[in-house]
Amino acid sequence: MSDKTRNYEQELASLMNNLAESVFEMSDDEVRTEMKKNGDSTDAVRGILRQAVKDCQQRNLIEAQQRYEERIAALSSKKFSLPESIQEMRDMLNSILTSNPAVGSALLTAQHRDFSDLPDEEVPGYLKQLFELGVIDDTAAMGDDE
Amino acid sequence: MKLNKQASRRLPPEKAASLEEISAAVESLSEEDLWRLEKYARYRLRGIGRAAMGRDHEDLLREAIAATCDPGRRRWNIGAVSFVHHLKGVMRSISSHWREGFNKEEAVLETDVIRTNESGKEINPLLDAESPLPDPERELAAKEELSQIEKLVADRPLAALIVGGMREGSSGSEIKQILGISQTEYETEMKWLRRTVRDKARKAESHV
Repeated sequence: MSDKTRNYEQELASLMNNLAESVFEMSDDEVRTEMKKNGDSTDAVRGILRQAVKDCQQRNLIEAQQRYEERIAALSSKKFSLPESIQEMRDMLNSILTSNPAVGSALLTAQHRDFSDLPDEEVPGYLKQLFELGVIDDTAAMGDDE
Repeated sequence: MKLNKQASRRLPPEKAASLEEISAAVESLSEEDLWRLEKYARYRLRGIGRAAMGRDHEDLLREAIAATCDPGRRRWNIGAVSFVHHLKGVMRSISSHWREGFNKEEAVLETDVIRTNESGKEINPLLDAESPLPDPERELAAKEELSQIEKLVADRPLAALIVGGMREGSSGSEIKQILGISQTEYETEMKWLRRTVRDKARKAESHV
């Protein structure tokens, strides 16, 4: 075969890919012998894989948090008839959730396992979500307040 | 050719492993399998040569996990394939696409594109795909690396023949058949070859 017709990249890839495949043809005994002979450790490899999984988990959490914040931002731009004080809002939220426990568990995030721990600044957001979901009727809520 | 759409191997979401299952699978990988995965990644990267664009075997291992965790990319069929073989397949697919210069988002698992025709025969479009035209610098680097390996095996006739067969694209079983050698003879040469190629790489790294 002349140089002009040879594809060295392809040839090198074929050679290395064959060597790669051959590693999976080795028995566990052969692998252990090689590892012992070369003093190979696999701690670093497991560490790389472990960290990669953690990165994926973190990325998912960040994305979920972003989606939540986007949803809250979208709700903030809408007008809802909410009670004026935080305590009244919290009472309203507790009243709704007591009569609809399934709604509460669906709304809970990883950060807040219990609505009693919900920070004041997040109470309006949860109420707005309930309005948006149609769990509470805007007119009725206004009527309750009045 | 008419393809049977029902025979697509794309994995339904409900059969894909969850993040927790992937994490548990990483923890349960044996030392031997971890060693195999690392070596596999290293050889695949060496096969890519300069097309790796600075990426190393650790990047390939990371990318295989990232792709497995991403529901839009390469799901692991936990009930059908062992984790180590899944990762091996993903690394093969990703490294092939790195070499071909494809966008990683467009990369697909080989098993995703295999179809079965009406007569039950498997059709793999990747086997018919043309290799990209070689880049002159990458081609020169590959030529030099091959030349060095050929020098190393020159005094070992059987190993030289095996390397020749691999360069031509023959598989291990085809080489054994063509050369008329036993599995033991083949494995002995492969063992020597892996060690020789690895030592050459180590020497090259120590000179950098």
